[in-house]
Amino acid sequence: MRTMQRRAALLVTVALCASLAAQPATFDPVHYERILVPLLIPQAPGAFGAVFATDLSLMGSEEQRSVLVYGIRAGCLHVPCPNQGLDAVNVGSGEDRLSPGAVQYDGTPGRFMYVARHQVPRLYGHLRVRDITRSAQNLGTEIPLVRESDFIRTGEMVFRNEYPSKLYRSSLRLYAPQAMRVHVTVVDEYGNETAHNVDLHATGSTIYDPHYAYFADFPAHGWFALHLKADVEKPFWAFATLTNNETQMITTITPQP
Amino acid sequence: MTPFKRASVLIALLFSFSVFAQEIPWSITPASGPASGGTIVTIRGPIGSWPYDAVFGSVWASARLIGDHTLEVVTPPHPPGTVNVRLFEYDIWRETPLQFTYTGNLPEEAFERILLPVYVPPTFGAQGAEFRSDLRLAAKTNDVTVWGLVRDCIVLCVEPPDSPVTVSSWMRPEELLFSPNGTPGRFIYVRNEEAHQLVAHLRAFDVSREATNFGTEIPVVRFDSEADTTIVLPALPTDRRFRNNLRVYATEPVVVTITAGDIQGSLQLAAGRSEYEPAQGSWGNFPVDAGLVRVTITAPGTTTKIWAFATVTNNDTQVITTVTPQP
Repeated sequence: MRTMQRRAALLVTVALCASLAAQPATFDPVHYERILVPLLIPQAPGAFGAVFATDLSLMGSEEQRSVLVYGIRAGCLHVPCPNQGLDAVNVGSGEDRLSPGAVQYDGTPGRFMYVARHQVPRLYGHLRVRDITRSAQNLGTEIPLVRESDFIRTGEMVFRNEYPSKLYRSSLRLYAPQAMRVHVTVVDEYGNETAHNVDLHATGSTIYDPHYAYFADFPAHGWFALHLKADVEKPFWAFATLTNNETQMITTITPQP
Repeated sequence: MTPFKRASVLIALLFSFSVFAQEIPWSITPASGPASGGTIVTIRGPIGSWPYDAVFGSVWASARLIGDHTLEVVTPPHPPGTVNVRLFEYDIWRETPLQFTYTGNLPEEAFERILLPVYVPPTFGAQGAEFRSDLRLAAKTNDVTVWGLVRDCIVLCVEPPDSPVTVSSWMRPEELLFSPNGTPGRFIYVRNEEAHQLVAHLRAFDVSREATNFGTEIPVVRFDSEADTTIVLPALPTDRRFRNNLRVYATEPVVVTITAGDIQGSLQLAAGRSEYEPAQGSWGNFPVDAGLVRVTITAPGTTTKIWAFATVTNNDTQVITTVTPQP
């Protein structure tokens, strides 16, 4: 009898641990909102001795002290995470807020995080990419956290009027929850159009890993514009950066308004 | 027909045409109405029997032929002010001397209000800095009419300052130059049905340091959907090598309460002088070397929506980092 009780207790314990460690395979879009963290990477070396780092801060509101965020490894701040997996992080408004030092930066390069829809208005965040070797000169560049409602669903996105010169390098990063192809048309200052097919590929096997593509086939200098169009009406998001080759200062160009 | 008779007929015809033209002068009744639109106006003049559209300023409305030389039009919503009325007859424009005056406040339900948080003429800063804001607009596919901007005029400005600008797809950069006219923020307006077509990029940069950085993107804010009664910036860096500034915007000149770390303060927003100027104010009483501090901005006792963002500017390099409400 005692053995049976022990077995039952063990079973309950195992089941409890399993539920704590479980990663949701899917999120019901009715109840959860997907939020893109476009860059969530460990420190990465750049040119001219630069070392780029991303800093993510998350905080709940004072009225609703606990916001569960799925998809951000938090070094097991307040919840047990026996498998170091993507357990929910309980983000509070005080000392239990998620500070940059508590985040494990393992996006590929970005990450989807999931939050219950009713909690999204009470979640506040800040994402910044900076060159830690130049922290005395600048604190870096804010990168938006993108709600799924801000994804482009009409299948079309336009970036306009960028003025790169030889002093700057340009890049375009594209994200989507699914595999897809985006037609990128680059128009140079003479009106010449160059069409490219850019395929967004899976960067991981979980729902936290966005499909992603990197594109940098731009004119070496002079004005150009970008026109992005998907061949199917699937949601995607993209942003461009201009980085100074010497100072490594990044300027973003995001879809606005 | 004898030459005399021919001449008589010709004179009679010319006379009748001139009488005809004199008998049907252009008129519009009434000549004013609310900015929300919906005024039924009667336009009379030398009008044929073709299908007509009427254009109030730059907003189209269908016209209905209700009699000889007479059209009936329901005015479309439009920002307040006096606009020219033109007719589009089948496939040609008909200029008229008619004007219609829109009265009252801008109809918020018909327009998307968009905030340009910093849109100022060149401003000189420390260390030889000359800050400029650069706005670039485009339309995805169809033209978009934007109210609240002034297009750069090189030699002669013929457009009144409140006339809208039309933004087209694939415009060249030199076609997109506007005169920054914010104080420092600016509201611009786009008709709801055209809002999804607008593409914008706003950038603040130090022209004296263009070789070292391209500047900082400033968000272009869909004010009515993105503003809130409480704004929280969870992680504002505070470092004595940098200066912090908070800018707050609203539609009404409310008093906002600001909490930054352990410091509390209040800020009376200055009222805008027109619907194109938000109520706004700036605040800089931040703690120093306190790490990442939480900043909370509320407008207690009111339901007025506010929007705010902070900047962290290096005292030496003048490089600006923004901290905006996310996500």
